[in-house]
Amino acid sequence: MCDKELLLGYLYDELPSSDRQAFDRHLASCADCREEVDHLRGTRTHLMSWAPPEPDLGFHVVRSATPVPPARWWRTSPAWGLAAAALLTLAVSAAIANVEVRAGSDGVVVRTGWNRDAAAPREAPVVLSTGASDVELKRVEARLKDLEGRLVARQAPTLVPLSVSRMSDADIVRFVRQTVSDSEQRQQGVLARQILQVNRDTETARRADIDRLLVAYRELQGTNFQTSRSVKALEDHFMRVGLQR
Amino acid sequence: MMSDEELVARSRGGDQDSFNQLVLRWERPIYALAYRVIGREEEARDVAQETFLRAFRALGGFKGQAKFSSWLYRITLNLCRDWIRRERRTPIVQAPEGVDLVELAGEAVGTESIDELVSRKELGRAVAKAMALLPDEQRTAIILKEYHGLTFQEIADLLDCPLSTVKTRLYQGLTVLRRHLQQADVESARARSAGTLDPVIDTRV
Repeated sequence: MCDKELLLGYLYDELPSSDRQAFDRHLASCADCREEVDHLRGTRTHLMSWAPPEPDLGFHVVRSATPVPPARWWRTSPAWGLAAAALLTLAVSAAIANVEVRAGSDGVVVRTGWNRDAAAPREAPVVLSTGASDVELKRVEARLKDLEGRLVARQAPTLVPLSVSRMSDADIVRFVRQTVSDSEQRQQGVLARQILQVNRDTETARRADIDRLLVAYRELQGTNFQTSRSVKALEDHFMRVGLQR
Repeated sequence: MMSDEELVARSRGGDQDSFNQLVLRWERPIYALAYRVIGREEEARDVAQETFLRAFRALGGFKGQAKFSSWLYRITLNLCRDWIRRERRTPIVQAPEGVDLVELAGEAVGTESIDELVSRKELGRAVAKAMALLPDEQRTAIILKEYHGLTFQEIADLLDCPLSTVKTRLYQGLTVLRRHLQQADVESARARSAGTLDPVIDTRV
């Protein structure tokens, strides 16, 4: 009965040299083991073909012990937040799942969704932000394009291509008009104006981390903002589409 | 270049930049581990990010009994385990949309022909599918051995199981993989001769 543990040790070259030599001698006279070693070597070679994708990770810690006061720009421009929510809902649902962001007096914390139970309010908050936001935006854009493609295929209401970085004011207004119903014309006008304001601010804000945008979005969810029903419906629609990938 | 131990010591002393260097050094292996165990890109990214978050917070309690990388791996594997349990399903492999020859042509490096690249991508997909079919423990053991070069003992320590168990899992896992890959080989050879490539599907087990 051939020793499989020895065979495995031999295969992975983790045998002390005496054992290795002994197994070499065994192989000389055992065709079964020879064949098996050959086969498993082949399998190991095949395994080398499986490479993970190459995402742009770029994690780094940007804050540690000092509490982070929430960025002023979203505190004082709720309009920005509302409009941003309309546009970036798609980014959130499509590109980033299971991210939970908490903003409070103790600072800003970014967490993955399943870590909810491990909340530790007394700990120093940590903000983990991604690196090159350009690449991050490109990722988001790619996801949005993908979503858009699927929607067109399903004959969903046509939407202006959602490229956050390339939308003109006219495009944005057109987009809003397409998605908000007639009964909300008044809100529509307000929303359009707010989004135009966003567009001007966005040039700077666009450079910020996706994480900070998530903070704004999540914070809005916790406030009493009357997000228009249609925008919410849009959000739900995209969530469903996003989850059906 | 500073060792992990030095960087850890500095990080514990409050040097954030040293910690960021550790992150830079280990983010890719951690992501790769999570990706292969879970089989999903986004979730793997989340797990990797969460690993470093937790490591940063728990640095005070890390006294260097184990290697820093082992400590990270342990956090990652626990997170993966939690995710799998939570999602209550076996990990699926996200199959890419399809073989894009134009894209591949762009990727061609050196003397690899398009055929060879196509085969390698197919093989990669076949491996991913086969790995997804393995029980969690076998898959994890193989990932740690094949892609992270841990010794049998290191794997045993990481997974808190006996040495012989590690070897058994590896042996059984490899044997099953071999069978699956042989099957995949046969199927793709048949498909090729019929003039169609394997359809790429989302493999849910």
